[in-house]
Amino acid sequence: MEYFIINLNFYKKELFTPENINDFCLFNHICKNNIQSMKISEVCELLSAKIICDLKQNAFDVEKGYSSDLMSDVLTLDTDNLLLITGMCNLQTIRTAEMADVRVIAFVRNKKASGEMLELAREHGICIMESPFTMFKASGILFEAGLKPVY
Amino acid sequence: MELNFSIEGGDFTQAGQASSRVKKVLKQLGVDVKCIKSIVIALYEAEVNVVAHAHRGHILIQIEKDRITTTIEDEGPGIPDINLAMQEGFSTASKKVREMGFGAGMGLPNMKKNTDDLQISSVIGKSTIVKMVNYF
Repeated sequence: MEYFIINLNFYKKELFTPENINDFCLFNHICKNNIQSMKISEVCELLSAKIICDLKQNAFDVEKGYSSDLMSDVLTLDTDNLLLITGMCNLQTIRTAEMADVRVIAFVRNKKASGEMLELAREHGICIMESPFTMFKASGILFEAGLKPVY
Repeated sequence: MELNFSIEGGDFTQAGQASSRVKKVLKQLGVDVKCIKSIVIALYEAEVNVVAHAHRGHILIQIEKDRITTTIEDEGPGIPDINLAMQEGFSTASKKVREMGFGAGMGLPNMKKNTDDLQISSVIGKSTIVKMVNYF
């Protein structure tokens, strides 16, 4: 079902015209509510981000997104296949991801990861991308595209 | 099996080193993934607390067949009111600690959530001892 929808989604521009916009909206709604996971490359494209640490990026997808600059809150989560969207860019962000089993981090607001951070991320197989968007915009785009919230 | 670590207060680059090592060891021992996550999150919160509040600290990890016991002892200001410190949102963290993404008063409650048994004792102006037990 998911595969079918993603493939159809690819062709939706050809399938729908301004005349059948209502069908398009309904189709889009169905698509969004059926997305079980999102590829890292897809997240990257949506956020106009640059992947700077991409260990095994195609080996897994993300299922839910969580936006926070507060690492204490990230540490309270018990969610698998999570994408962390944050503007908190320091070594402890990577450590927090390591402890909370978060394998993908999207840094927003143009924050740049340091060499030390990348080294630690590589060691623990954490994928890092940098987006020029604000946390609000990045979260909104991903939510709109069907990425689910933790709660 | 016993593991020992030292922590220097104020040095944030060190926070997480012990948790990282413990995570590797527990993985090698084949401990359940969820159980490992709880243990390392509680330990990491404790490490951050020592770095954030104390002058220095020591961590002792004892791994037995059915449990892991973590004892964190620090030299620091102590906790005047442990019940108050256990409340979500209560924090005495500095601006620097908050800028690192911590100090929101979530640490101790999160440690309690992630351990089977948590004991805290403290002498004001001298030290704090935190003992956590997790059963596999």
